[in-house]
Amino acid sequence: MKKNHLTRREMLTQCSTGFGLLALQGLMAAPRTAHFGARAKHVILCYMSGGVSQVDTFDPKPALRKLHGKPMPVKVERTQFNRNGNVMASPFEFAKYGQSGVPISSIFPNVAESADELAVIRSLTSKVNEHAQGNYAFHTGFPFMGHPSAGAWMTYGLGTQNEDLPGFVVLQSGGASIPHGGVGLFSNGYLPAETQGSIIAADRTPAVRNIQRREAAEAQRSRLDFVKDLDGGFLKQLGGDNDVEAAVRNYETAYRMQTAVPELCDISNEPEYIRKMYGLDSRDRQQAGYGRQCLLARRLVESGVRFIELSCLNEGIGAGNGPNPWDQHGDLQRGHAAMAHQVDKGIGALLKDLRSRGLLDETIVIWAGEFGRTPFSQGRNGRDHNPFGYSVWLAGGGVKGGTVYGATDELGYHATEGKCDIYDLWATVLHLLGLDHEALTYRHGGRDLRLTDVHGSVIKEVVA
Amino acid sequence: MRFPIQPWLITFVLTGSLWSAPTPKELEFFEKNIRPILAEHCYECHNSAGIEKGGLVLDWRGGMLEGGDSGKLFEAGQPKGSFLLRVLRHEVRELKMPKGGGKFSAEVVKRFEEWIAMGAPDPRLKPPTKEEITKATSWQTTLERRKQWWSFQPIQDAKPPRVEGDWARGEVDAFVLAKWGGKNLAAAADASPEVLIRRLSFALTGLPPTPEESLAFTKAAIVNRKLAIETAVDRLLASPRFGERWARHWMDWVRYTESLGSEGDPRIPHATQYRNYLIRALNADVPYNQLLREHIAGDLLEKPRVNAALGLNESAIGPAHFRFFRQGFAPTDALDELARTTEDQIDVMSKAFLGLTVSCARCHNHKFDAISQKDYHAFYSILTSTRPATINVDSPERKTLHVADMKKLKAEIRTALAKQWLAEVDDFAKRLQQPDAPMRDAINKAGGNNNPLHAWRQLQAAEGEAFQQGWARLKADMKASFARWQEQRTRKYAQHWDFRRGAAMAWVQNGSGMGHDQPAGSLAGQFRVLPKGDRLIGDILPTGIYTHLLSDKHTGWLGSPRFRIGPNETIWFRVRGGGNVMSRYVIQNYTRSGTVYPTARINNANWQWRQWNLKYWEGDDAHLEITTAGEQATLASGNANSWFGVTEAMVLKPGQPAPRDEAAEIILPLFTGADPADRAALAAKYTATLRDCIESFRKNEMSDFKANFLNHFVRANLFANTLATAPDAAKLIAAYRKLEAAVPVPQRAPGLVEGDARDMPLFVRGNHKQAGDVVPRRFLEAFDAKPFKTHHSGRRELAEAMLQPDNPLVARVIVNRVWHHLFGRGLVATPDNFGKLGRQPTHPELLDYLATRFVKEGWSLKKLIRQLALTRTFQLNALAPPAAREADPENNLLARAHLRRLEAEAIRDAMLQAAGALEHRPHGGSDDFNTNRRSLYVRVIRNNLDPFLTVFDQPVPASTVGRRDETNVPAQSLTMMNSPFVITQATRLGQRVRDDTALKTPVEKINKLFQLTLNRPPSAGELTRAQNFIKTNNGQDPWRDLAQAMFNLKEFIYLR
Repeated sequence: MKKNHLTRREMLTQCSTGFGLLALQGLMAAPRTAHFGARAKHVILCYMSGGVSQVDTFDPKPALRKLHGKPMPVKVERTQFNRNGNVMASPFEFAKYGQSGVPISSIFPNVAESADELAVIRSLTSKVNEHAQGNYAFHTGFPFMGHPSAGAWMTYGLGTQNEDLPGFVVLQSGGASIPHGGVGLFSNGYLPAETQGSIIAADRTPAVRNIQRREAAEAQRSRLDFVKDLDGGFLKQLGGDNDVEAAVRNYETAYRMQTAVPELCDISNEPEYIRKMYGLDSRDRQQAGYGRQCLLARRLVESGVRFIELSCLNEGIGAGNGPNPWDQHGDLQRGHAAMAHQVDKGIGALLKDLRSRGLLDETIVIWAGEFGRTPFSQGRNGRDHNPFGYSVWLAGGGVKGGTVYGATDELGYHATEGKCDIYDLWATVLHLLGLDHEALTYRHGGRDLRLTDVHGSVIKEVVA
Repeated sequence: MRFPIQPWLITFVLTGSLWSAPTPKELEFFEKNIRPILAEHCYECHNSAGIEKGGLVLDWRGGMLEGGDSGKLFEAGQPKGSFLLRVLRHEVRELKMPKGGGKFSAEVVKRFEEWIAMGAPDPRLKPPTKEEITKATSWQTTLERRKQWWSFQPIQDAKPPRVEGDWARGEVDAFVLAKWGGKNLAAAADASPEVLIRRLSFALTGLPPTPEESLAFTKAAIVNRKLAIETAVDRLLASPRFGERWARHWMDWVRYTESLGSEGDPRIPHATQYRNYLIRALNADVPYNQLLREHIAGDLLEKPRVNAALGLNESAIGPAHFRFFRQGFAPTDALDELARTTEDQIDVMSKAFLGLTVSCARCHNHKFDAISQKDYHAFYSILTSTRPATINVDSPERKTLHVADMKKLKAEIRTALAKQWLAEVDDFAKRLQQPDAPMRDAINKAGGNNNPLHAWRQLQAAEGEAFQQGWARLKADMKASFARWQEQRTRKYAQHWDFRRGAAMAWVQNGSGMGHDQPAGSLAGQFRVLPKGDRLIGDILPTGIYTHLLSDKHTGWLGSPRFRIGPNETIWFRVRGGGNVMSRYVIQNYTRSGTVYPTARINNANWQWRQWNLKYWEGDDAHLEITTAGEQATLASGNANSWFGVTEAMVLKPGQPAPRDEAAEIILPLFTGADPADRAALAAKYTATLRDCIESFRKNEMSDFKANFLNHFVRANLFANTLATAPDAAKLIAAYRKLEAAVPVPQRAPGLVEGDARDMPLFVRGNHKQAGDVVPRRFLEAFDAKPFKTHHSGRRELAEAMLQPDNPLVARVIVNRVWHHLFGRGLVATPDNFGKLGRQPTHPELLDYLATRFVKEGWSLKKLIRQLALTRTFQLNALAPPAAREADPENNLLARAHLRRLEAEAIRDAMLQAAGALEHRPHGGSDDFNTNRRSLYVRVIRNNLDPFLTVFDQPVPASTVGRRDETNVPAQSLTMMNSPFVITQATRLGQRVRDDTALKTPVEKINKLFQLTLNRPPSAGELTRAQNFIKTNNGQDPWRDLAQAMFNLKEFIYLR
């Protein structure tokens, strides 16, 4: 509980729940009523850090093939490396999939099987052209640390469903690192602390910092009992105090978390076909690693977690690195193929698995990165950052599947139709969660702040 | 469009029996409570001048009564069911008023309710004219109205109220007590000595008392409580730990950080210097007004505060906080980046020192407070007239150590060398004709036509006509070269800065190496005494800007004026330097390098032209920056010996030929005067020319040509320039070298240098791509709208404006901050926001009384803290009688102490102290988290903040945090249960007690554990429980377990 945002009187009324009922997140994050009818309850963000090229994935541009190797026929905007080459056609083939015929590049065969679930937005733009700022802008609406992450806003807006787990979880595996900008990308900013993202390393022990007890369980239990006794005396001396009581209860929650989190991460009882479907047996270890996050994401949805963000693993190709694995300033063909191979299997499985369990109707899956890449080359065989128009997709609860929304110019350079930005995307996601993005505010530093700042409108065309 | 109601109609209706004229009292109510709200929040969209959103007009009585598209607003006299009230209460979805400004306070809504109940008295019988509306909604009117807000009112010298009884110990208590009148408020009892010494110790030093301190205090308090408290307070105020504690508070106000954040997260060089500065200043009780002045303009003060012991200019460190902004990596929109980093600076400066959210006025006038968009941009103009840099913060004494003596010696060295060379030059013609080994060597090397001996080499064997033709040819070549050189100098460049022609005056120069010849740059003929080796002096230099004329340990920061980059331009400059000199063109004050922000290190002692193509940055503002290694804001490197020289710089328009060195610049002197008829005459001409050059050198009156010409011969060892060959000069050189060796390597801090000051255009609607009117550098118009009269940034004027006695904010804000940190909550509960969205003071008179006294008594923080710590109010128990808690659940009336959780640093430090591991090593740099030093010495790296400190709410360095969050999450419990740090401290504490041979029995050991962690003995019940715990413990080490249990107690992390 965040003392500074509640007066004592407010706290007294809020803290009247019993001693044992405390949610992990504290009472601020208890389930709350949505602003209007919710279409979904959970969000899974497959964050493609580093910048995925739109013209190589979800925005086919035949014109590039015609102009391949020729100078750009239009004005070239400032790029980050200023080593701009000529037009570069996509090395990948596109085909139309599903009944809807959504065009998808050959590097996403598994996702393509769920083409009719996807609403591809081809006209997203960003104001920034650099990773850390792009990541902050995407996650928080502002290009710098200090503001709450989208996951925190949604946890704040919806509350949690599970008392033993955080409402906002960031998954990692296979040594995946935090995108440029650092852990502040998952910050609660000025929102209550309970809404902050907790990092769970899907394949590591301990999966969560300090979750592993470093002593025998009985030793810890007997110490905690001793502590509880003495805390009781302290509380009595104070004549009761809500903060102290909450702190006492937090120890019990923490004690339970020590068991609950490892149980959650233990996928040994998942059936063989499921493990296979997610690629956990893959010889591509990165693919297996990402698949594990996808599987865990499903388990977290089942456990009531609100917002789950997945982290790509490093393939080390081009300028791609731990924090920005999609960043192929060079060697784009190899890099994008490897990255797609890493994530496609797991995401494809996730979409189908959620669908078969009836969970996709209440879960929004977002596939997106901080910006796209240029249709012209950087150096010989890479692409530079392009924030002027790029592709992302949504699937699941309330999303109109089999849709393509917006368009870029014939080169795939600038958004020309349905130009939208991250505020519109989040406004849409909030809308699907039953939250009015203009009403989801928090007063801080003398302003009523929003995830969508002073912008944003719902992209109705992708809402079913 | 709706058909407007005719005013006469309303008047007619209203003058009927239903309406009676409002009474004066009712009118006063309207004027005071209703009209200001309507004018401020409603007229803009609901007026009679054409903007009537929702068909509603609110600027006169008729419109109010008629209502809008959604129907009537209210029935006069019947607040119940009023649509207006429902809208104001945000009970109508899609129609929440006022638009975009958050909900009105319950109080405002209540006033509307009362007003409707009294029949909606309203003197506005006619719709206002357009002019009247403009006036009513004008910024001037709004500003005047908003200036009535409490925090903008002058500080009242409030007299302490007279109070009955002997409860109050002094004037502060009297103010507190007076508020209880009529309320059922029995004050809490005085806190016990054990509780009080713990509270005092944490509040003043951030550490718990040691068991010895605690026991001594308890004993002393039994004898004489008042005296014991006074003694303890004075002891704690005098402790060096005091400054560490309060420095950390201050670091929260200015979002202290050691890195910039974003991709790469580069360090801010020497950031820790600022932290250490705060610690020293607070321990020395430097007056607050002085510290504020230093924070805004400490580097510009005529009489800086000097720390003689450390050789520091303390004042100059103050502005370091301006450098704690968040900066992105290689932004392609550099102006956007400048706009954001400057907003970051303005945000913190105004919140920290004025308690105002000035940065909310970047895009429009402030929504609630008396702050205009122009105010924001006045600050923007001030701060963008500076440039980020690492600055030399040595005291003037240290900066100028031996400078005068070295200058004097250099003059003597010049004379001695000139004397010797004049003696040597007589032989020069002869030496040319009968060359000795060095001469022969020099002649052989004179192949290039820029070599003064080239003519001799060409003509040394020529006779008669061949000689004359040869000479004529050489002269013609020289003339052509001279003509090219002149053309190059007079060409019309996009920018041209030629230091031979006074351009240096316009450049920004900073550093201890600057201005040692002329105030801006140096004239031709200067030289450097080589610090070691056989050779005595380095090159004889042409006109330019040099940093190393006295020592290459001196610093130099050189920046061109700002210029706007045109299409396809390139920038060129002629430079020499060594020791990792940094040169770069700086776009919009951006401090980092990478991708489209190229830089070049200069490590070449010969003149060279460097250049960059600026095409990418067309339309942006830029400046050229050349600095010694350590002076870059972000790109500083550690080379202690670093120096450079620059002669000129220019920005070329597309198609202009590249500038180049010309032979004439060196050889011209040989070709002046009469032409030589033959070889002998040429040899004699060399002698005469050189004699003339040396004469000029002696008199220190050289031209660039003479300097270059003579330099060639000295450099070629044709004149004595070694210890052995110039013994007279060598003696002086030895003395010089001794002095130079003692020149200290400078101490540095993050800072700003004054740039070329310029008033900047306002960003229309905050859009940096849309320039509006230029806004002069000035203070907030609510106080003084006059532009500063200065050619500089205006920081000094800003500091003084903030400290004007008619600005009530500064004193109120700091007094409230101190109150907050002592009591756990400020008299104003929002210490960073004294504006309309902040909370109002619970004790306005007390706040003003304290502010008045604080200023009167010399802005002493220690006096203020002492005064407050000695109040009875401070010393109360946290537990109050139930009735009192019922009457005042939020403890607004201060009849008891606020219970508070310790800050992250205090929790960590208390564990280290209890473990006996706390290492007091003040100042210096920062450490990893695992250090045994106090937590404020743990590194603050934006992208890698310490998880322990963060989980207990050490703020993320993003903005001012005057009041930390006190969160309560299971991650804190997990940390205290399982983190290796906590376990290590528990192990140490357990061992400490277990192995202490002075503690004979488990009871004594338990007692000691309690003293070390809670500063009190265990109760009988606790003792038994602890004994059982030790006896029945199954773990490896019961004492370790018990020690960790003590850390896990809530009493350990809560301060009562």
